[in-house]
Amino acid sequence: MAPATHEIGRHTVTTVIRKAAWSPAIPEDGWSEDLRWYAAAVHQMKLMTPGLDQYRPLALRANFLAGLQNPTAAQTQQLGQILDVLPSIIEQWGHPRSLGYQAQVHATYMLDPAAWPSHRGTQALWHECAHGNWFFLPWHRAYLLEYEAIARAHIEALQGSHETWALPYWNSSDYLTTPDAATLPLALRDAVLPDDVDIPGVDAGPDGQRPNPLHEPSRRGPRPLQGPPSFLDWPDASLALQRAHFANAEDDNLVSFGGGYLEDLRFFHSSSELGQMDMQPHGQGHVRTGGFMASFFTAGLDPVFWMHHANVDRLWETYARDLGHGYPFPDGRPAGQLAGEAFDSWTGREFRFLRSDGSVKAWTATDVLDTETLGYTYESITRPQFNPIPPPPAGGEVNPFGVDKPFFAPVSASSDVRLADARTIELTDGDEDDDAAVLPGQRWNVRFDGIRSECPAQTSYAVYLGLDDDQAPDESRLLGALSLFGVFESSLERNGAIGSSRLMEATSVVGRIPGFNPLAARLTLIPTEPDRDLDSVGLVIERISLEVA
Amino acid sequence: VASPLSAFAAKRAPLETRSWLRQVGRAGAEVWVWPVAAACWLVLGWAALGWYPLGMTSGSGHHLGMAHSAEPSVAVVLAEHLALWTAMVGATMLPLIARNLRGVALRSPRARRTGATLHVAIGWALVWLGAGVLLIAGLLSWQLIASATVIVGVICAAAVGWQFTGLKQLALARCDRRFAPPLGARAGAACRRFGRSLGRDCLVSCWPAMALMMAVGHNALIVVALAGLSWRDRRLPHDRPGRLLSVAVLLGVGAYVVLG
Repeated sequence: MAPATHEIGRHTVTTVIRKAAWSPAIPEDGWSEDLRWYAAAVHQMKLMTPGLDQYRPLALRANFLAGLQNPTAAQTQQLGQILDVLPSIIEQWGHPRSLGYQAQVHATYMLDPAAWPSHRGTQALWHECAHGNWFFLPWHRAYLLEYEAIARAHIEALQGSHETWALPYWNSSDYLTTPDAATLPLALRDAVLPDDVDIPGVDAGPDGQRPNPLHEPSRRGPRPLQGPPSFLDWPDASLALQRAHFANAEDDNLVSFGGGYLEDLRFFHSSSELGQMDMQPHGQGHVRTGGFMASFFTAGLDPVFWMHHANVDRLWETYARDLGHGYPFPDGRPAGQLAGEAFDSWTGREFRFLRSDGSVKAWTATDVLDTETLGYTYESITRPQFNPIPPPPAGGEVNPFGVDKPFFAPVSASSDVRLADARTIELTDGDEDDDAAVLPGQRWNVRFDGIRSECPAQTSYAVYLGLDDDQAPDESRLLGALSLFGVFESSLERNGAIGSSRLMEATSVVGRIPGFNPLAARLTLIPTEPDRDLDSVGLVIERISLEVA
Repeated sequence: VASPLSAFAAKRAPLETRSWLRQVGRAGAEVWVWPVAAACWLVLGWAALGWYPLGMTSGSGHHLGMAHSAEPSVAVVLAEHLALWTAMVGATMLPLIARNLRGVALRSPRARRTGATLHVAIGWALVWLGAGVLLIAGLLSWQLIASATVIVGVICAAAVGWQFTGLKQLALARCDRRFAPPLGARAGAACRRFGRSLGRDCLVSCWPAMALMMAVGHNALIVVALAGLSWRDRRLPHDRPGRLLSVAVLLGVGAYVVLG
């Protein structure tokens, strides 16, 4: 039987297969055929991104100056000087086939929207990313499709095998069976190409060496994992893949797989109802890799960003197909007010992308659910091995929400928490009259509100509930990893200094603590990257609370 | 249970407006905002018909609403204007903070949710009331040395210019802030403090529109148009302000008053 063909842009392609970057089938040096052609495409995209080497140190420095609450005069002056230069660089990135353009589609903040460049008469469509809500997964799927089509066009121009090429994915979440997968794929590590690897279009520079297009000098990790496996490990997908529901209703506080239903579409770019997948492995992967990857504004300039997101996209396939959760609204508009309105929101929000021919492609979430129709599949969507954790209590499910949406209320809290190194916090100030007793059937959350930082996150924090003073960190008390990717961006004054929220389910852990007193709960936060400069981040949490429903 | 508002929203309004209307239809502890705002619109309506809240006769339609048939005392004039200012704030600005109030309620213990919204609203309203006293005094004094046409023209020009300032954009972006108050005895004071900070941002963002409404004597048509602009400001992504329409409406208001 002939392979199925599909129209993608002006190309007719077979259903291509995105392949793992870590696999026994990959050559020992890590340079698979798909990675070689990916490098060739990225090289062309970088050639269309003038000033990238000048931009790098300036943008990274700006990330550490733009959010300072009390900058010195010298810092303010330095930021001003940087912001005088950066816009003139970004203005040159107006071609959709450039890496610079594609990175700005995710987020940009150095250039006023009125000054965004135009391509073939249409202004750039930048700063469009969806995080912190249930459009996180479908928007990034559409984004990957557009990026992959551009890479494919470059490969075609280089007379490569564009019809069968697909974006490789960094299968970090397979690390329990392939331990190396928790580290960068080999082909992305070195600044120069190995002698025996030829990348079409890449020539030797004046120093006689050929640069590796997949290398990004700003990266700081991730370093190899140490110690016994744990669901705290950054690539772990156990927590996410075991969530019972794809989405949570806004403020109804069940941690979901994909994120919160966006009741008000005005907050498409700035909501804070993160799904577990958004936090881990997605957010943790950004922070652990560091450099460009640590900020919304620069992440897309690192070629690994796209491979990391391809893995996140693959895990959505795992959740929907291998684990049998399906996609939201398989039967069309459901009965019931909330579900019906949610359906309208899910189907109505467009994700718009400017293409190199000057046309604008508008995707919706429902357009991107069937990957085969979109022209690709994954080498494997089998669920990764899980770390041993008890799955969260399941609720009756009405796709894509749980019907037993409990309505949480705070029981105890601590306000204005400053965080850098490891710290234990007492959650108190509750009232005996509130729902303070531990009863069967209750569900417990720990909520972090108003998280703000002055710089991009340097670390995540392991969060433990109910550790005693002299007790070593114990996995039976571990809630998970507090991922801080995106906190810096939400803390900027120009974004309203709104801050971010995070939510962790604590039901299982509360059930394991004998004599747990919700009115005097102890929360211990331990940085997962203690060696980084955590004091400079200026991390403040407006309130941490224990909630019950 | 589907509210009539939600049912309307599902069928008639554009998608983004629909999602806002749904929130209104599902109001929680902040539900009191809507009857209060409706009552304030009624007061403005009565004023437009010449039935001023203090029972005075008024030159409705005259700029600054100052053309009284009998010469009232300064105190009555100030009280009249302050009452109308309060109604205008309640009608046009209060609905804009409903989402902020709901956020505070959801982060408060169940029994204290309505109280938390009231504490925030008190802090917020105090800022607007303080600004109202200063604005009224300023406008009335200004009217002694300049014609109403000049006053409206200058405020219009200021309102247009304000659209392009960084201060306006920063304040507008901050209007979406939410707040998780501390629990226990400190909650009320913290909510009022948050309300004051929210009020400052609202004021910085919208003062020219409110001053203009005041200067045109609460002309119903203009109040509706400017309230619509403020609502639209809150609906657009804050990093992509739709200044063109705002400027056009403000210039239209200026032309209507100055030429009319």
